[in-house]
Amino acid sequence: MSASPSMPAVVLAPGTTREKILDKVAGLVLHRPVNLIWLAALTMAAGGGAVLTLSIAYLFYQGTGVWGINQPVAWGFAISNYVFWVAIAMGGTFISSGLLLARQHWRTSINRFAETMTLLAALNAGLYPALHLGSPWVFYYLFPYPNSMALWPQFRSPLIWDVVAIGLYLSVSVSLWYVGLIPDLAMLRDRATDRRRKLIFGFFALGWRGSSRHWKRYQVTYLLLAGLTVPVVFSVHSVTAADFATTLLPWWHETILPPYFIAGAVFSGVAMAVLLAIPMRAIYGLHDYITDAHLNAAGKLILTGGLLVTYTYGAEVWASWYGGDLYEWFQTKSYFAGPYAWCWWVAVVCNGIVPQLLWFPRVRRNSFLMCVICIDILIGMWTERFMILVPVLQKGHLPSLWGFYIPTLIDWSTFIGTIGFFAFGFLLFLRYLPILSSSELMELSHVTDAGRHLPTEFSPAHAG
Amino acid sequence: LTKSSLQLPADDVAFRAALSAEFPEEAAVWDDAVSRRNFLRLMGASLALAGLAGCGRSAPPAEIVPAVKDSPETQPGRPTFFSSTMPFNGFGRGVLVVSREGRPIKIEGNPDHPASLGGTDVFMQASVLDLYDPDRSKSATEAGLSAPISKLHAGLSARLSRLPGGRGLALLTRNVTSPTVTGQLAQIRKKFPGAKWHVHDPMTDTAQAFVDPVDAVYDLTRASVIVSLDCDFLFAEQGSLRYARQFSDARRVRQDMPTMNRLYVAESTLTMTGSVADHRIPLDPAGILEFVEALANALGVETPAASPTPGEPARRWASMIADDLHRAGSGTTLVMPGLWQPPRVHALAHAVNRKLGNIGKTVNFIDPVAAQGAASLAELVTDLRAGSVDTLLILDGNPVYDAPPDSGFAEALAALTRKTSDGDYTALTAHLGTHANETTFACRWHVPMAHWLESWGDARAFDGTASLTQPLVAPLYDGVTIAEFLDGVLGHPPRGGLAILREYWKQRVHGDFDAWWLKTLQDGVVAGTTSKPRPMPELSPLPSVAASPAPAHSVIFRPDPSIWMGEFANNPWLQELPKPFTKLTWDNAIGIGIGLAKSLGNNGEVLKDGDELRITIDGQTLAGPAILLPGQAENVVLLSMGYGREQGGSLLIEDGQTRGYNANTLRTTAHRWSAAISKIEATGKTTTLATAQNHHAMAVEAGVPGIEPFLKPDVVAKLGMSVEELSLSNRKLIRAVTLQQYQADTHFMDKLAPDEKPPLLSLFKELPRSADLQWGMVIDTTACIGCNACVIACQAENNIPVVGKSEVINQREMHWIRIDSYFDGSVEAPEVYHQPVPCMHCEDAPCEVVCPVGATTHSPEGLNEMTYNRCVGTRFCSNNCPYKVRRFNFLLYSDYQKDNRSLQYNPDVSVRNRGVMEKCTYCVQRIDRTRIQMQREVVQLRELAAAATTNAERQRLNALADETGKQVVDHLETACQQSCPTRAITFGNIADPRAAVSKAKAEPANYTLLRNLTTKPRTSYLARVTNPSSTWAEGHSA
Repeated sequence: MSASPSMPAVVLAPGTTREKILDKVAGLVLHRPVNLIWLAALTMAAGGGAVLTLSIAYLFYQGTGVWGINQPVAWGFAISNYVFWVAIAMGGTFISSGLLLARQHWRTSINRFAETMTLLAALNAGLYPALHLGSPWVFYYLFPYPNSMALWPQFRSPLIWDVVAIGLYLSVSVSLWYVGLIPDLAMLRDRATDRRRKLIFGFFALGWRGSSRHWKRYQVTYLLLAGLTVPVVFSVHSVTAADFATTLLPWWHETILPPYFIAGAVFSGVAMAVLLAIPMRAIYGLHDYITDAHLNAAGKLILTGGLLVTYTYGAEVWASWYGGDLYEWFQTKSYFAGPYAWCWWVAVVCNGIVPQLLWFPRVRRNSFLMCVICIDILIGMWTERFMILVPVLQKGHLPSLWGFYIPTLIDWSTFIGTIGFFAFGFLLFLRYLPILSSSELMELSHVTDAGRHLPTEFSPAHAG
Repeated sequence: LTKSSLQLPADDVAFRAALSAEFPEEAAVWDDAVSRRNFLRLMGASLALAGLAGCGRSAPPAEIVPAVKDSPETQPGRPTFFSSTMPFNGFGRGVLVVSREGRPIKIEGNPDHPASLGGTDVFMQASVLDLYDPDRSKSATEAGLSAPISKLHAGLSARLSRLPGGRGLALLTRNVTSPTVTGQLAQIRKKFPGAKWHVHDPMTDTAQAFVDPVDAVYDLTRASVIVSLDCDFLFAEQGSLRYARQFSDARRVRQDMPTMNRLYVAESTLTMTGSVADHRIPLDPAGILEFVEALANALGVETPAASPTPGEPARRWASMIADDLHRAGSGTTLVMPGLWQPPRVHALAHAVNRKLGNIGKTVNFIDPVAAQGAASLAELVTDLRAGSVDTLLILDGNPVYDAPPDSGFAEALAALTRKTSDGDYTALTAHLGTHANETTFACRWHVPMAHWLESWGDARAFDGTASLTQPLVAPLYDGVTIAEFLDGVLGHPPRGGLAILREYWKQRVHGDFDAWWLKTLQDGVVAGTTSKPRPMPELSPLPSVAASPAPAHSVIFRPDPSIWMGEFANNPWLQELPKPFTKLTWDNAIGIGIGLAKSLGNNGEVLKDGDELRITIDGQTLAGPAILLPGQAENVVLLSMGYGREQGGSLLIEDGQTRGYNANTLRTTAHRWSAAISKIEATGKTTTLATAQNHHAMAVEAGVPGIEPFLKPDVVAKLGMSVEELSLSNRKLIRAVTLQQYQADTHFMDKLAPDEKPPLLSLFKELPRSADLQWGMVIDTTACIGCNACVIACQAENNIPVVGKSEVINQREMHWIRIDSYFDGSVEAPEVYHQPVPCMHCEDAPCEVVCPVGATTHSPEGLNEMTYNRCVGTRFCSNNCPYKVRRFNFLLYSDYQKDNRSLQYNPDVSVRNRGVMEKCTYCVQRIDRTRIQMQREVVQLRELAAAATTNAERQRLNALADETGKQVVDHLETACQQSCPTRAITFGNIADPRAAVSKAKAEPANYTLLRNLTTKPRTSYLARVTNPSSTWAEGHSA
């Protein structure tokens, strides 16, 4: 099967030759002087990472009581931020694997950093469940390890599914990211001039020589991994939703939650990817590789996600009214007018109304507006996670134990710290690893440049 | 190896050589002088010695002889019960003290004692913690420096020999009911005729309604209509535990006994008694007086003196109640005046009782239980000012704190204690007390007083019954009892409380004293000491009351329901106990009604909980946070005593300030329980109150349609919703019927919750449950008076930590059982409902399926169990618990290393670490002990049956085994159940149809919370049954 002839031309700017791609990708890593802005940003991000480390140290020293959680609201920031970061991670995977399987060539220029984003976000997400344990020193009880007491985890609990899902997700994401990097690492090894880099890149390139056999194996592995990642990513977010959906609480006990969470994840994840891509493109001069066509396509994806999320809001409200359950409807009313009504309205405005601008192609191709909309979506989706969690717990079945949740300084510093950690990792990636996948871009450029088609087995889109 | 291993024990050289050849790595073990085994043995021994060294305090100072065998009292691992007597307001309350390995750890009521009947209150339950209070006085001090008590006694006797006839010696005590101490006081006055004895007790009003001093004792079992005139007889009166039991026994409506008494309450602030009333009239103090006049008029009682004409509403209520009293018949009603009511109310109430033929039936008069003949505090102050007191001994109590400021006692005492210019004391002042409190610091000497759990002593109950106090442990510090101290004053060499006590009773017991002594100690009651009723004395002539204009606002002073008059202020359990109705902890607040909150708010705003109020009475001012009280009489302000203390423990001070306000500063000798307010205003400041239910919007339509639910206005504001919207939260948690409805229709429950769906069919197979024992609980909401005894009992039994004020504000209190308060009807006069909520032990427990590590699981006997060691603290179970009964150790709350209060811990219950979830276990440790006992006894009988020769014998023994097993289980009680003064909680084996719990569950009033969720709770409730008068509603609407 061949790619749509018009597609590649839209994706890469004309005149993007193989040499140009290689020079650009390798040059960014090998021949760029240390940038002061980068250094400043890295320092700030490292500061954020330090805040995270200190927050965690304090948390472990004192206990989860340093957070604002309490008796009715036993889960707070830790879980809502977990969902937030998992969703971001999932968006990256959706770009790198989902679009690969869907043969969307435009993903090529953005998949590398989207995968990196996935990895860092998933690390953040994976951190939270461990932090939120009251007794983190026995975290390993959550794993099915053989022990003399013959005790196993309780497999009916969605939290165990969560442990399995996030573990699997992290390992698959790392594999996908690393396997995709290998040809580029080899390319860097070959182009590096100093012995130190040659050795480092050479070590991680795993002896890649670019032989046909290598390429063949590479393509099969990459596609298999991508094929594996897509169901895993759906399972991860469905399982996250199951943490809520399997409970007895009104607005949690609902079958709509898994698709709702997945739609939300695509929505916020793609928004995050776009938000990272636009400044990166401007700073590193990647306009030839990440074109407005990318923004256009991503904008459509975001719009789709936004519509799905908005639909879910409506569906939940409608179902709670139509279901006739007193408590469900009471909870709905609390959403509209309760103490946390602000979350509901922020979510509706940020996720439901503002993204409607993306119907306009001019908006989708305007990088400034796209940035603003993506920030709006990230705020909206972060608030939505808080909204799913706290107002439901805050008003349980017995009014005698209604409560209130106010995040503490440590709640905030932990969250800000994870942002710092994410930025730190991403900045290191920008400096020390190829931010575009040169091998995949070159495949595209074959089509763009000379109108020649690659031999079938070389094209990821054609393999399998 | 050729030799037999039988040679191993012998120290055979050849064997050892062969062994070391065979197992060279073992050689060292066998040759080494300090083998691993020996090392462990030595280590064990030294640890045991270290443990023994730690027990140094428990050995008496006399010559001791080691027991060859353990004494039968200390059986390791098993609790031993000792009957004893706890003094409270000077009166005795019979208790059973649970001792474990020589340490008292829990207090239960003594079923044989008339003032307990097996029930307890929060003070009895929490008193055990005071024993281990690290802030207790540890040694005698003179001017703040440690000094031997012998020096004080030497100084005393020197003085007494100098003073002619003891002139200049003054003793100040609280109420004295102890026969021994009464005897000693008589001896002192005989030996030192010039000495004077004064009594000051913050709970006693000296004003009397009768010419002769008497105490009134009530019998509620015979009363079918009860009228309480601000009498909180379920909690605050001396006999309240007995009254509570009698009252609720007469209200236990069951299918086979569908009758109950009726209670009318007129009171100024909502009390526990008012909360269970069938009709409650909120009245200010003047209104109560008016009401009782009207009642007397309506019944044709001649009022003792000219009195103002009662107003119209009072007359209407009074005539309706009078009709009801008449209908009930002679001698079957009861009118009870509250102890804070003026003599006039007492006089009128008893005149009404006499008119209704209640004297000798429901009301008995006895000679005063407290020792008589003491002078008052005012006389002491006069003597102090006159300089006629040279030596003042204050025996227990804290008069510097709790004497009204206008008495001038504090200043007079300070003047007496003051040093002369050459740095010496002229007078001798001494204070005996468990803590170095405000009074201590005004005295020259302080002597630590032994806690009652360390003391030999005796006391009389409210009805005169005497009982003995026996120590469970040797004094932890250098504490002495009042009797021991007075013995020293009498010039005896130190001889211990036991000798004093025995000497006293030996003179009064005929026959075999040792047998009597043993039996009395075992029973916990001195047989035959209950006071005989005497005829009702004449009413004292009462001054006529001029019709004075009622004050715009009046204040009432009441003991705090948690820390009483301040004596329990350093008890962390009681400080953190959510007070009834307000659920306030760690503070007192100024209670106001909604009307006052509206009128006092600045700029038309309604005052919120925590807004500061300033109250002025005759130039004295007091400021404190307001708290809104439902059912408060209009224009009445409630001040709670016991707070605002400066000395006497680390819990009294918070951030360098005293905890709460000191209501004593507004009290006067003339107006001890109520006073007119000169000025009340909001200051505009606001503080955060640590309430365990501020988040609790109480919106319940309790089966009475058409009544608007009551909500605290601040809650409504906080939720940003209208009352109507909030009423959607109605979950039929509280169900109530009238007696009429109950009698008319057995299906009344279906009408109460018509929209409740029948339980859904389960897709899952029922889990197999072991057939023999299935635990379940029923809580009777009619019987519950909301007294909190179960909350503290649970805390004591289950080692529940105290989290502190800031953590209560963070909504992290740890109580395993809580009492939810619900209000229905108008804010001014709401219906009040108490609902104790322990773990429901759901058969299909939602917490269990969500735990990722299986730390909470179901036992075959239907218990929902927590395995603390397995818990990783995800808190998922708490989220999924619809009843929110799970409690999480967010921080390290049980710091068992720092505080010697940890000595109170129940060794049968794990102390939970940080990061672990916990909750009610149905007292699984008690269940286990019972099961073991049952199995042991049943197995023995079964073995006998198996060995029986005839079939008939075998059958008889098997039947006996079954019956024995059931009886053992019938005796099992959870801590909450055991503590309950009204027996509102029933617990047992629901698989046994004849068990009390099974019968309760078969009652038509039985219901479970949130049945629609199909969790199948094992804890169920009996709907509240009330007995309103049929004429009341008509009279009201007329």
